[in-house]
Amino acid sequence: MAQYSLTVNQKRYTFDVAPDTPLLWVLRDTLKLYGTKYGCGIGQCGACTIHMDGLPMRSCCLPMESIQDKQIITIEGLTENADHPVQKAWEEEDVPQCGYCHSGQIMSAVALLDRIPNPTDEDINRAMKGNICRCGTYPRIRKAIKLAAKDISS
Amino acid sequence: MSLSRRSFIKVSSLAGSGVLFGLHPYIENKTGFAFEPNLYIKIASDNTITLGIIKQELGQGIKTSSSMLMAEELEVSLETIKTEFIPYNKEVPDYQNEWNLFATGGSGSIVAMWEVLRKAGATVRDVLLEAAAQTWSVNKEDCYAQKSSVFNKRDSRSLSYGQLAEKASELTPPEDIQLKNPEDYKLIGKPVIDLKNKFVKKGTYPYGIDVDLPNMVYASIVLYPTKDAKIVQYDVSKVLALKGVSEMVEFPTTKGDIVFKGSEAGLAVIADSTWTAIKGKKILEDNIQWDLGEYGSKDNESLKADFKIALREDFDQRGSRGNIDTAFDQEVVKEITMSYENPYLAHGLMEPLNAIARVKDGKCEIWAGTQSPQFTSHYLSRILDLELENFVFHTYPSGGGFGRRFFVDYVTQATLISKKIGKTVKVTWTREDEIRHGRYHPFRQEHYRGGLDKDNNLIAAHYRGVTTHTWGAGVNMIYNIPNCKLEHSIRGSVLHFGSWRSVGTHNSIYGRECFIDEMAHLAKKDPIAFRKELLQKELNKIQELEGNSRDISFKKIQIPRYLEVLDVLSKKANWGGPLPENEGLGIAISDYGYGGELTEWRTSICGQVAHIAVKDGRWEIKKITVVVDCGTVVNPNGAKAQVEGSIYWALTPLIYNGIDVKNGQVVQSNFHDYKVLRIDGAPEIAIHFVESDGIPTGMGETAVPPLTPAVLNGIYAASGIRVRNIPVKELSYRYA
Repeated sequence: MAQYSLTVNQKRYTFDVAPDTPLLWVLRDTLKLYGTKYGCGIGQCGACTIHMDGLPMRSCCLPMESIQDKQIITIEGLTENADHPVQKAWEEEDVPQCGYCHSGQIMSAVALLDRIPNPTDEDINRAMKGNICRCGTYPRIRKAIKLAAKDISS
Repeated sequence: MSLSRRSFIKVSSLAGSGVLFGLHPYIENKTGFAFEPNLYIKIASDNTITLGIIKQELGQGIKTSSSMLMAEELEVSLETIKTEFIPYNKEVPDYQNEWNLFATGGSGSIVAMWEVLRKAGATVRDVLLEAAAQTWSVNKEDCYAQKSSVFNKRDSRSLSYGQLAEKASELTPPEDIQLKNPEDYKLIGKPVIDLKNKFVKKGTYPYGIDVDLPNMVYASIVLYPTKDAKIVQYDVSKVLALKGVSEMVEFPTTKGDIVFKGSEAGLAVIADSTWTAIKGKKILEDNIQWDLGEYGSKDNESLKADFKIALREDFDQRGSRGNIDTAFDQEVVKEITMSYENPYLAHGLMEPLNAIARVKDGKCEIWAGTQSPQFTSHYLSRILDLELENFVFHTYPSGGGFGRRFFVDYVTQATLISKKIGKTVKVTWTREDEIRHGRYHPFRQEHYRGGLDKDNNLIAAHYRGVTTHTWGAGVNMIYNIPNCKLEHSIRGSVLHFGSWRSVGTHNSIYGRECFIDEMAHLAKKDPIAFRKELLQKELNKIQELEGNSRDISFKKIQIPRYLEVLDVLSKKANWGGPLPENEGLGIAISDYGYGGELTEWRTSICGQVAHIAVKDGRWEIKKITVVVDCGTVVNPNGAKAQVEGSIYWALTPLIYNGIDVKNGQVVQSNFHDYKVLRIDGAPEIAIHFVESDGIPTGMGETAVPPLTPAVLNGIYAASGIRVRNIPVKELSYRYA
C-alpha cells in the first residue's frame, strides 16, 4: 500500500491503497461515489468515464500510482444542481432507458462540447463511440448533444 | 372496441392483484402514511402521494408507464408523485405464488398492469370523492378530483387528498368502478419524460450494484468452466496473502425444473472491497487446475457436426397440412432449399450481474435487480429449505434485463455464500463472468425447402428447425401454404440456454421472413404483395372454419391487423419508389406477445422496411421504417424508445461475431472480442404507431425479430447477394 493524493470534485483526498488500484474503484469503494459505473474494467465501454484535468478518461484504466495530484470531476461533481446544458438536454430529450451507461455518456458529451462547441455528426461519432449503450439510446444521445450545443452557444 | 362494456369491472375480481382495500396492507403504518388503501398507493397527510411499482424496471420504462396508469385515474400529476419499488415479502398478496405480479418478461408487464393499476387509481379516487362529499355534506356528483385534490363544483371549496386521507380510510370502497374513456385521457397516450431521468442525469439512480450496507463483505467468483468440470487442485495461498482478502469459500451447483432455475458451482473470494475481491479472483483463476469433463471436448465444430447428424434423424412434428411429398413430387416446378443459421449470443447488459444476500437467524434478505424477486425467492426457499414468509427481497431497477435477469444463478450464489460465512455478502460479477457464464440465445438453424407450382404459387414448404433448446422452437407459419410440414429437433447444448430479448421469435422470424422473401423473388412477385396474398388466403380459409381453437381465434384477429400494418408500412417506406442501383428495400413482419383471451387474441405486430445500400463490399442501413400495432400506446416516448432499442439490439449480431465455443468454454470474454453496436453504427429509424384504444399488448421485444430478415432481404434487393447467416460474412458493415 502507498499514499496517493487527488482532488475529487474540488475536495482533496489522500488514499492509502495498492498502487495498481484503478481510480474507478477508489471512487466507488472508498469515496462511495457510485455515479461512476463499472461496465467492463478494460476501457471498452465508457461507463466509468470521468474528467481528469479537464479531459475525459476511463477511470477503470487509471491506476492510482499514475494519477498523483490530478484533478478529478465525476458525474456527481459536474454541477451543483444537475443543470449543465448536457444534463438538461438529457432529460428534455428523454435519453436514458436503463440509465446505467449515462453517467459515462454525459461526461463524454460534456468533454466533447468543451472541445468542439458545434460538433458535426462525425465529431459526435468519434467522441462518443467509446461509450456503449445496450439499450440503444444512440439517436437520442446525438439529439441531446446537438440541443446542448445550441443551448451553450445561445 | 367499445369500452363501456368492459369498464365496469368488479373490484373483487382483482383478488391477489393488490387492489383490494385493507385486506393486505402494504407495510405496517410505520412511516406515518395516513391512507394506504392498497398495494400501489400511499397518501400522506401532507398530500405526498407515493406510487408502488411492482414490475421490475429494466429500462423498458415500466415505472413511468405504471405511474401514468395510476395517475390517470387517481387524478394526480406526475411531477408531484413519488415512486418506490415494492419489495417482495409476506405482506404482498399472493406471495405464495411462484409467478404472478412481480414477474417481468415476455413484454407482458403493461398487459398485466393495464387494468389492475387503473382500477387501483380509480377506486382510491372514488373513495376520496366520497370522503369530500361527506365532509361537505354534498353529493359525490358535485365533486371532482384533479391534481391531488377534490374540488366542490358549486363553490370554491377544495380539500387535498392528504386532508381527506383519514376520512377516506374509514370508508368502504365501491363494488364496481368505471374507468375513463380514451377521449378523456390526460396522461395516457401523451409523451412523458421517463421519471428516472432526473436521477440518472446526476448519477444518483440506485442500481443493485451501488447498494452499500453496514458490515457487508464483498465477493468475486470463479465459476466452474464447463457443465461437468471438476477441480483437480487449487492453490489459494497467493489469494489469501492479498491484503483485504479474508477467506475463500466454495459453493455448489443447484438445480431446478425449468430454465430460469439452477446455478453453477464455483469458488468465491471474500474481501473488504469489490476491487480487492476481483483482484483475488484473478489470482485464483491462475492457480486452479480443472478437469474440463466431457464437455471440455465440445466446440463450434462438434456442435455443427451434431446438427448435421440431426438432419438425418427423426424430428418432432410441430404442424402439418396437406401432403408435402406428393406436392413436391407432382406439382412443384421450381424449388429452393435454404438454411439460416445464427450463433450463440450473449446479453452484454451494461450492469454486470450482482446481488447482496444476508442469510441469518432463519431469515433471508436480498438486495438485487432481477426480473422477478418473487420467482427467485421461491427457488431460494427450496434451496435453503427456508419458508417463504422469512424472505424479504428489496428490488432495484437494473442496468438491463433482456431476459438474463430472470435467471436465479447470481442471486443463488450470493445466498449460498452468505449462508456459509454468516455475513451479509455482495457478489459482483465481472464483465468476463457475464460474457463467459451467461445464459445464451441458442445456436440454431432453420432449414427450409419451398416449392412453387406452374403458376408461381407457393404450394409446398418443409421446415426443419434444429436448436439447442426447446423454448421458442418451431415457427408460427402464418402464411397460407397448402402443403406444409413443420418439424423441430432439439440437440444437446454445450452452453446454458437463456432467454434473449424476443427469445425464439428472433430465430424463427429470421428464417420465416427470409424464406418467404426468397420464394417471392423466385416467383418474381413483389415481396409485400406476395405476403398479403398468402395472408389473405389464410384468413379466407380460417373464416370458413368452425370453432374457436387458439389457432383460429388468433388468426381471425391478427391477420387483418397484419394486412393493415403492411399497407401502412408500404406507404411510409415509399415501397416501390425509385432507388439508386446499389440500394434496395427489404421487408419483414412478425408479432410477439401473450395473445390470449386477456388481450382478445391480439399481440403486438411490427413490420419493418430496411433501406440498404451495398458498395465496394460493404453494406449499410440508410434507414429503417417501422410500423407497429401494439394497442394503446401508453407513453409514446417510451414505446418509441423500445422500438429504437430493439432494432439496435438486433443489429449487433448481424454485424459482429456471436459467441464461439472451444474446449467446452466460451471464447469471448469482454467487449473487445464480443463487440456490440456503437453510436456511429446506429442508423436512422422512422417509427409509426397504428392508432388504437385497445389493451396495450407490449413493446419490450416486438421490434427485435423483424430487423434481421428486413436487413437480409434488403441486402438481397440492393446487391443480389442472398445472405443466410448472421453475422453477415459476405459483406462488411460500413461502420463496424
